Amino acid sequence: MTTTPDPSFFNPALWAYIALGIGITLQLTVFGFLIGAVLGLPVMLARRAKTAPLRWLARTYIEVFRGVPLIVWLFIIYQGSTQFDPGLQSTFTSMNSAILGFGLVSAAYMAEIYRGCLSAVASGQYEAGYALGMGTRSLNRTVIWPQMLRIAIPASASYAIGLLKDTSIAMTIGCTEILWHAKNATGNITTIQPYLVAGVMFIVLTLVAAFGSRRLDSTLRKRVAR
Amino acid sequence: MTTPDAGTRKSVAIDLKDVEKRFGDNIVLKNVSMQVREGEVCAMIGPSGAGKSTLLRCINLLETPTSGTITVEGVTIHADHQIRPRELAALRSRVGMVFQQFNLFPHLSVRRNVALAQERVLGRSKAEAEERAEILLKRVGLGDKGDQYPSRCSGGQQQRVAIARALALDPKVMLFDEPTSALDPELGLEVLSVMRELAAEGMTMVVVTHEMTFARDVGDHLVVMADSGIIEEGDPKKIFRNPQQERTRNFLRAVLERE
Amino acid sequence: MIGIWDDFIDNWQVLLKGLLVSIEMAVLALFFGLILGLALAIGTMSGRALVRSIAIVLVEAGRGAPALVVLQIIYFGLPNVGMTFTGFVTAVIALTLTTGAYTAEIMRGGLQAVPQGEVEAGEALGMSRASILRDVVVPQGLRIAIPPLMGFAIIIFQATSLTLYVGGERELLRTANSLASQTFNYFNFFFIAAVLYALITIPASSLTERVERRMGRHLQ
Repeated sequence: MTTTPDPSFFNPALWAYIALGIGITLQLTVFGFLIGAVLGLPVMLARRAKTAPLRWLARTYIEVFRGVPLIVWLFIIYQGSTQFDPGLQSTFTSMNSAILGFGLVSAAYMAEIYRGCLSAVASGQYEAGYALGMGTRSLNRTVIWPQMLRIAIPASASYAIGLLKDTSIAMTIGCTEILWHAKNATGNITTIQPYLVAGVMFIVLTLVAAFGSRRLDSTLRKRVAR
Repeated sequence: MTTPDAGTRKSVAIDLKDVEKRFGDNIVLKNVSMQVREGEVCAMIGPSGAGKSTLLRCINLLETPTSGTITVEGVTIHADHQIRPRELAALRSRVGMVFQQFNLFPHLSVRRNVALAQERVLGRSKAEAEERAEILLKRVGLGDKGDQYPSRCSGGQQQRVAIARALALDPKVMLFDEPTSALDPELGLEVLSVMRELAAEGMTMVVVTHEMTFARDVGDHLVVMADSGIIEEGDPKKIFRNPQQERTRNFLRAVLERE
Repeated sequence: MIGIWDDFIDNWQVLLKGLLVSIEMAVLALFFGLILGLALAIGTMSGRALVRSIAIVLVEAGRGAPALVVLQIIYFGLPNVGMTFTGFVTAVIALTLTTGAYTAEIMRGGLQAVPQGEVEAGEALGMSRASILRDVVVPQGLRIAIPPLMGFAIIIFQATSLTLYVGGERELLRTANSLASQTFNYFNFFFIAAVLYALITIPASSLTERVERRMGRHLQ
């Protein structure tokens, strides 16, 4: 049985122990975000589809996955699956359930982000393109989508940073990320020091990520004239 | 520089001495000195970027000069000393300002716009302030607009409300920063006529403007600025007829040709 | 189906009670949190460097730490300093702090959106900074901030689900969880909980969108 380090805020061993969770936190964030970023595109396209049922489906998806709290989704997937067949526990592990949950919810948010970015690309671009004799398809490919993706990056980065904080919810279904380690380190006593450490770690991670995303954005601004 | 009408030696209302303003390495005002007498209408003209608005905004310290002295109606402020809030308040209470973009408070009715500062700054009661507001609104020709909101008023009406708002605090001096530049010519005329009346009543005014007719006909003292300094100063009629400086000649020729 | 409806019928009172507790928690957190947020927002815009720095640090800490972490800190921390409240109260306190930090940023955005020219006009009229804030900036700034604040209100309501192990003894998810562990019908009860949450958040979202559209039009 491993003994957890003394839960004192000033104990470096405590910080090291809690930092063990950073890897899982990042995995949850990255995979969850990637699934959401990829899945969000077809959802966004479906929302703008010409066929009404498809539109309705996409809209419902977005409303439902954004309207129900993240933790409830995690519970439904992780614990809910056991109602049907306890054997499913091996497919819907803590990590898998969490990533699936984060992915599905992120897809809903990313779909809306993409929608906003698309409308932000000036409609005048279409008109200018048509006037030059370009067809919609090639216009989309060469003019609209590149701009849209470039605008989408700051909003997506901002969402991803929020997601990083939300991954702490995964500790409730057993994922061994930062907050899980902090809770573990409290042992049997009610002390908040490990939680303070966890808080500081999250703050630092989000500040670093925010800084990085600002740098990314300004580099892109230089490359792709706005 | 020459001051107009040596015969009527009125006292000095505004005295700017060696005012310099720099933004980093950029010098926007180069040691400018200027005097405006009581009851005088000082019109400031010149090419864009000459520093006219900056100089005007130094008078009520919306811009703080890097160095120099500002005296308005007996209140003196030295730019290089720490400016105390009480001195600043004393100076600003003597000066009213009208902006190019009107800057009315859109969430308040026209009457409230004119009454608010009276209540907050002069401590007048709501009833007193609103009564004064009505009088002033009537004076600028908007007596029936008290309950309207600024967004429902034309540009000319909004600017006249702005004038009433500034007058409500009984300033000794009125500053106008390109008051008609954001207005259609017809709407601009309403505002200019209010300004003419104000001048006729003896208000000390400093007006940064592109309206050459106003400058020539209503101005007592013309100040021509270019390249962060005053290049020519004096009787507007004389300067318009016979500008002394090359730069003034060029500017006036370009401007008058467009009218 | 798999008995979802039956499970609901058998327990609808306690489940609805849970929903009400969640709503109550959210409303209280919003009420106190918005006041805190406005104070912090004005603090971050202060002319005095010390006030500004403290406010910024509080806001960044409150926004950088996940809500669940804040909940743990308050829930376990307050008794340590001798303040013992009910679970509900500690949950409200924790959510209030989070609300304050996030809404501070939202309101700061609104306050800064008020045109600088109006602030100058106030200064030229000799109005004090406090008066300019109170009479010109805050009324307009808060109005601008209403749609994003409504959006945040929905988020905080969803966040009440996080209190289930830290103070939210009677709120909806905790209730659903207890019922689920008694009957092993995990999926059923979490599904019901999901529907109940959505019943509030989805209409609230479309209301927010409508308000946003109305306000966008009005500004023209």
